[in-house]
Amino acid sequence: MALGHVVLSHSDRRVLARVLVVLNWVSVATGAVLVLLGVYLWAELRRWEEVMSEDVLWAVPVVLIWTGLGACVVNLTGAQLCLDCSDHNRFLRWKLVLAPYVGVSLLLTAGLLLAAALSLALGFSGRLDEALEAGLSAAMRRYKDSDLNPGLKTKLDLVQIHMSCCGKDRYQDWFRVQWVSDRYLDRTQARVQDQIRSNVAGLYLSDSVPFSCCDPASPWPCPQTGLKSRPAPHFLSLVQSSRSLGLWGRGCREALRRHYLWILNVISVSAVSVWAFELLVVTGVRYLQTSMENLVLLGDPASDSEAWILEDSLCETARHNLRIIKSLGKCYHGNNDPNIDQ
Amino acid sequence: MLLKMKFSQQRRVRLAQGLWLLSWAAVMCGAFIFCLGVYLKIELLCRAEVMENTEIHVVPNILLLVGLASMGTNWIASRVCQDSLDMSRFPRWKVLLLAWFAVAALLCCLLVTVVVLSYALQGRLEESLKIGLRNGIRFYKDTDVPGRCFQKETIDRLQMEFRCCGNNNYKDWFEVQWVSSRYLDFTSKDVKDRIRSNVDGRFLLDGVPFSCCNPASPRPCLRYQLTDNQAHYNYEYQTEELNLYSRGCRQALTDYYMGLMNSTGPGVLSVILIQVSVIVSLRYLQTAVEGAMASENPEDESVGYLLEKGLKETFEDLKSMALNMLKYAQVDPATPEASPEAEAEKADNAAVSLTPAS
Repeated sequence: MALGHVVLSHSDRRVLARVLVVLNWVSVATGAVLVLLGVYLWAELRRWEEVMSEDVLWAVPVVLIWTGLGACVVNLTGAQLCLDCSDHNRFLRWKLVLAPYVGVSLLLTAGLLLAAALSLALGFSGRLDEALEAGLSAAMRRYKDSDLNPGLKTKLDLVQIHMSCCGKDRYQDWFRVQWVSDRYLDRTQARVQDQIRSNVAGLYLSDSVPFSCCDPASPWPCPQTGLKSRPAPHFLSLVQSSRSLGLWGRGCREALRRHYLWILNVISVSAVSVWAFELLVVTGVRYLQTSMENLVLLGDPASDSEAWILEDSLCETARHNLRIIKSLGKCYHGNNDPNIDQ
Repeated sequence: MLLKMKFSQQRRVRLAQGLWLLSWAAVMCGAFIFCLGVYLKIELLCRAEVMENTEIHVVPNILLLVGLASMGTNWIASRVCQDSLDMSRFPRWKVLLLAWFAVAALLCCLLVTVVVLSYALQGRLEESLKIGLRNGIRFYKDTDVPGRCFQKETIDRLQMEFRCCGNNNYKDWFEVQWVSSRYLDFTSKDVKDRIRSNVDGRFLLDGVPFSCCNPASPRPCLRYQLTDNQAHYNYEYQTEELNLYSRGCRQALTDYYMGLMNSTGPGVLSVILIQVSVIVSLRYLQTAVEGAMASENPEDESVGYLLEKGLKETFEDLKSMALNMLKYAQVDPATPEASPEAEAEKADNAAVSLTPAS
């Protein structure tokens, strides 16, 4: 018993071919959308790569771009194939290509599922979080060394400004790091000497944050320094309330994690929907293929022909294929040949 | 005849087909001009808070108008092409074509005006920005006054996005009290001194808001006591370049908008070229088809031209026709019966000379 058995008339076949041409062109467009998503994710990863200790998500844009390009190419050929298949004579040219084409399309849809699964798995595993944690800690420690790492200070400032975040988890993280370089510290000042002496590692720690932690939406001038004791400069008198200090409230680890997770969610949703759509298109092409092959066997171009997804049921086809695979390894058996003496 | 060319039947067909494609290309160009106008208008509206007047909006407004009008005009041109080879359908377009040429020429003139205006209005834009930014800086501290409470955020975000500080440079912040009195510590000696030493009782200081800070500086940002070399270690304000943004916001915004309008210049010029070629080709098609229709055999060769008489004669004809129409409107008491018929005859002759086949 065939799987998905239908009978298609001449006009049915024409309509099916036309619909499939349109669907293939739509698939080309969705493939291009996937390529664009992959390029966007790649660009966003490159933009903030200094604050991630390792590139955890490198596989996702690669898989997405290659499957997107593959989808565009495969669906372009599919559109041409379906255009020719509606006509009996032109179908004979493409007869041998159609079966491999269906196989390649199925592989492609598997690639799309892989992209969706990868993005979800990598996003929700802890690896992204760990990379951000390690990267941000290292970046904050190296913030002051703008002579050794020239671009790092600028990059971290830009991260805090664009992502509206301050420090790793909260602004107090900056109190535990010396972020003012020794080149700009006046060691002859008593205040500075006291600070350095009171610290075990000889670091100059202060209760102040860089300017990039400031929130433009707060109604008062940003108090960068003296955040623990009294907010300086000396002329400001502010209410000490951690919510309304005029600095960004959240940490950069959370902000970046949310940003990347949002992109990965969009990617997985699009990949799954494109996969479902491609499956539909491949099913239609399979029906068209089988109906045209049966038509060739019948001989009359205008008659009805049968179409199916699989000629036998699923189990029968699986058993048949397994038998072929088993006999591949075996050589010629001369047992039943009458010309050979046993 | 001005610039006459011979057109065989086949050449007329080719001209009609080519012109049909060209007029659809011109419709696309009209859509492009419209989108350009929309983009420019949105960009100007985004920064409307730091602009004092809206004179510069005339540029995107004209672009919007011209875009829509040119889409309609060129669509009509494509319909005329489709009908031009059909003898029964072409005559109904005859009356419309004169108006069409006038409208198309007007659109080209408007596009040229836009290019000229985008250069000419630069001074007015700078003036408008100067006043708008000055007000923004003055009202920076008024975050509790209704109507001005978002000035601080607007100016901060503007300075960060365009990498600029103050109106002309960062010293503009020294002349304004940008720290609200609500947040001043009036028990501090320094605050009392500063307020007393100022005539208007304002609290001025040599400091800038955080949005002036340049992230590319290797040194943590110095915001206060900027003119005091002793206040900071290893600091000389005369030679320090990277600490704050050195550009003024007026210069930054003017450069940005001029850059936008200049980069659209080549696009607008090529649209003008396409529109002019549509006008010229349609004139040739019109005269060639009318010449063919007037002759005994419509399949014959005909002559297409731009103007029937030379440039000077056509101008003289137009002038006399305009004068006659003015005289006709004026009541002339000297010859009340003879003049209306004489004028009407002259006007008819002039009209006939412009459109030879009727």
